[in-house]
Amino acid sequence: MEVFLNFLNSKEHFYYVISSYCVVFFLLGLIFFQTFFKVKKLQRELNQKLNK
Amino acid sequence: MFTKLANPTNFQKISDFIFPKCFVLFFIFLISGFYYVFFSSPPDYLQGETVRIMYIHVPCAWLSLGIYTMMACCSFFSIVFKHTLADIISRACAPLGACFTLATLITGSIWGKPTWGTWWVWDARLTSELVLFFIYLGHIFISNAYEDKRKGDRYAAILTLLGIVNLPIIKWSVEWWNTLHQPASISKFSSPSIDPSMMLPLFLMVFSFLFFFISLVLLRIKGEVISRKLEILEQNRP
Repeated sequence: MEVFLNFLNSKEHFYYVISSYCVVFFLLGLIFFQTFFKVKKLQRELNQKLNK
Repeated sequence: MFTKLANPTNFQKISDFIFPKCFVLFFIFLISGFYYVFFSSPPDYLQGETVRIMYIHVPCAWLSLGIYTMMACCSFFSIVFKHTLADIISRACAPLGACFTLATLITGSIWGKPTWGTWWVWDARLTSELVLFFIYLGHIFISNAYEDKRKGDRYAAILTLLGIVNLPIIKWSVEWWNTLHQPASISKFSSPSIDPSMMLPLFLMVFSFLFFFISLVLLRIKGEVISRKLEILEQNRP
């Protein structure tokens, strides 16, 4: 816990670290959701065509 | 076995089985990695708390190179053996590789500001990584530029094989030239120069990102297979 508290109180360094983690997880989240919804949409289209 | 796997339908069955397991493993490694990154690993004696950027910068950088190597192997199989699945995998990997390369460049830039005093330098390592990002973008654009997917895949595969010269440049740029970027801390041929208390969270994050990549690439391959099935259905429509 002491390690974490020191990190929280590291002022400028804290913002550099947090912003880099935010950027990476934003990018990963973005590509995950883009892929997930695209595949779902394609699957729905395929099912519709096969059921016609 | 390879012939069986090269059949998109068989591959689909196997990937549907692997996908949820990989996603669960991603979360397990991520949560344990976060614990060690923020609650256990000590700050660096020189860089202080900013060293924690390493735990996401290095996995992204390793994956950006690993994904490209995988794409190069697929491109080789696509050109020599004309395996459709190789093209599909290559197509599925390119946006993920671009994403990890962009993450590497951004986190490196954020890390560079407090460490080097600048966001960006035209250093050999940074520039060659930027070139890798442009090659990924080139692959995405070329593979989608033609109506005939096979034609696009073929040109994209040639670009990927040509771009492989960039990989040794990225890897050894820190040794060949005098760069601001530090040399590799973990080498295959020598003992690592980083402390075990930092090594554990680093490898937990590496495995976490690796499982994220595997699960997402399987999902993208599924999407690509479905879109090709839809195209065939469209062509065969009376």
